This record gives sequence, C-alpha cells and structure tokens, in this order.
Amino acid sequence: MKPRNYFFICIAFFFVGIFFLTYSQGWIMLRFPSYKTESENTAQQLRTQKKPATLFFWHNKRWNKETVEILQTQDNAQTTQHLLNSWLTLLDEENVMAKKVMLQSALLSDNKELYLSFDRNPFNETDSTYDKLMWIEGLLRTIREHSIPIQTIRFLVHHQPMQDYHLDFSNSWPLAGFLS
Amino acid sequence: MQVIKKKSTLLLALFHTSLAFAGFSIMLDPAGDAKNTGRQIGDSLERGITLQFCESLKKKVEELYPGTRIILTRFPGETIYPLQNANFCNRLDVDFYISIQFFPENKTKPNMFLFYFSQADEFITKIPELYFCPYDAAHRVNGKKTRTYTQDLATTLTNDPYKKLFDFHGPFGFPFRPLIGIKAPAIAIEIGLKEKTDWQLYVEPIAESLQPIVARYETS
Repeated sequence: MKPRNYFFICIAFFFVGIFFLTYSQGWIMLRFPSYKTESENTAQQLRTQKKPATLFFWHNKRWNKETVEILQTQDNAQTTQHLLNSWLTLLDEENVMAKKVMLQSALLSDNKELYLSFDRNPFNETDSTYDKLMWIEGLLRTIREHSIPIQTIRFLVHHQPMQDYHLDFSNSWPLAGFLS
Repeated sequence: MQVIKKKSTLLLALFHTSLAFAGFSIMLDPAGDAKNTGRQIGDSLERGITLQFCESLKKKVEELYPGTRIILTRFPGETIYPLQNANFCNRLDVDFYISIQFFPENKTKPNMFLFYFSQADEFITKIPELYFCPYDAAHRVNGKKTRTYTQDLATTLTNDPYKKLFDFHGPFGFPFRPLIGIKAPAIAIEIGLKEKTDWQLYVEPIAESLQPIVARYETS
C-alpha cells in the first residue's frame, strides 16, 4: 500500500472517531423516522369515533331529551367537552337560555372530580333559583347518562369559581345531583 | 368606627337578652340590600318588595302568634356583607330563619318554592356538643329540625285554600347561598310575582303555615 493511502485512511478514521465521540457525548442527536409514532396516531384516530348521546334538559315544567351524535375519544375530559358543548348548543337552539354559552375547557382530576370552565355565567339575573337548579340537574343527568367515571363537578367561569347570588359554587357538586 | 362597633355590640347584647325572655324567635331575611338590587319585577326591584313583604309578615305573625319575636336582617339602605346574616343569626341564637325571595313570573298560575341548605351530607347525624365546624357545614347542627319544619310548611301550603292561589314545589335541599353558615333551622321561600303588588297575597298563607312550627316549639 502506498504511503499516500495510509494518510487518507488515517484522515477518514479521524473523522469517524470525531463523529462517534460527539454522538456518545450527546453533542449531536440522530432522529430516525419512527414507525411507532405513525401507528400511534392512526390508532388514536381510530379510537375517536362518533357515538349517539342522549341530552337532557328541563323546559316548560318537564324533562326533555334529544339524541345527537358526539365525538367520543379515549380521553374522558375531551368526550365530556364534546358532550356538553352539544348540550349547550341544543339549549341555545331550543331557546332555553337567553344567551349562548360554551364550555371553554373540561379537566378531570385523579380523584374523579371534573372541572368545567364556561366562557360566561349561564344564568340570567331574572331567573328563578329553581330554573338555575334544573339547568344544573339537566347537565348532571346528561353526564350521568353517558357513564363518564366522575363523582363531583366544580363549576367555573373563565377558570374562576362561578359566582351566583343564589347557588353556592365554592364547593363541588355531586354528580348524583340534589333531586334524588 | 370604634363607636359604631361598640353600639352594634351593645345592640346585639340587648337583642340577645330580650330574646332569652321571649318565646319563639324568627329571623326574616328580605333578599337584596343597598348594593344588591335583586331581580327586576315590573318597574320595581326585588329588594324593595321583599322588605315590604317581610314588614307585613312580621306584623301578621306577631298578631297571629302573640309572644313570637320577629327580627328583620336589614333596614332600608343597609348593605349586607357576606355571611353577615349568618353571623347575626348564630349570635342571637334564633329559633327559625326564613329567607324571602321573589322573581318575575309570566305563568298564569304563580309558583312558590321552598328550599333549605344541603350538601347531600345529611347522613352525618351524630354531632358532638363542642367541636369546630366549618361555616358551610353549620346547617348540619339543626339539619333534622330544618327538614321537619320544611315538611310542616309544605303540608300547610299544599292544602286546599292555597291550591288555587299558587303551585307549591318543594322542599328542595341544595347549596342555597343565602342560607350558608346558619346554625338555626333555616329555609328560603321563593315566590313568582306577575305584578309587583302581588306579594300581598302571600302574607297570610305564609303566616298561617308557621302555625304547626310555633305549636311544635310551644309543646317542646
């Protein structure tokens, strides 16, 4: 072998050594296209599916119900958000509420407490306490019907405890409600 | 400020002394205050109507049940701070607390609702004589008595003379904010008014519905 070739081989192995050193020290990182990530996304999409849900609301001195299709995922908080936004849309369409209210976010804690944050206070100043109570009972009944594993619900507006002159929201409300 | 505080303490002490010698004592809480106007009923506000109603109810109850003492939680123009009524009621140790609420009604036949404070925790019945109690659990001290009183009221108000006048609903137990922190048996009556002057129709039924409660107190 010619001395010139020895020189090129040394240079090549020098650079290979530099590469392995930087890789082992974590100075450079290699990210290969992953089959697993793609398959997880596909599985997540497959788990999100449309399912019928029964929505309950109190209007004209009686319980009313309507079945709609909602997006159901493995994430219970997300499913609850889809469910309650459909419920609020239904109340708006049926003119049960004087103003359009939407659920900003729903979070589920480890101790099965659901936090619901609305974009505005759902009650009017002239509403009777009974009407307000029945609005909440309709919401609780809708969640109960859907068998979401929660025990209590905390009502919030813009992520702060909901304020009302007649109903106390400083503590969480039981999913079973107060009418039973 | 110090003078006002001393005066209010003296007033409270005088009230307490007079209540100790009086018979059945009822505290009436008209909804609203100087800051909180309440709901709008016709061209009037709830705070004014509830106050008129409570003053009229006071006269009627004192006339029907001599020896019964009625205290109103506020005067016109007074501002009520959070938990002030509960504090007032607990310190005076009254026998019964009634919160009066009105709302605008557009139905042909008005509705009347009866509420009491509950957090679905009534199964805890054994309470020691001396213990620290969170303010939102004060209702449990007389929880059983509250439910007995609400049943007494409900029985009278669903009777024949009043059936034609209004639809009665209740009693309902839930976290009703005006009754939070009250140790005495406490209820709230919410009535739908079509006209602002309709409150006069309800003075007699409510005064008469207190009869079994006063009788129960006297026999005990």
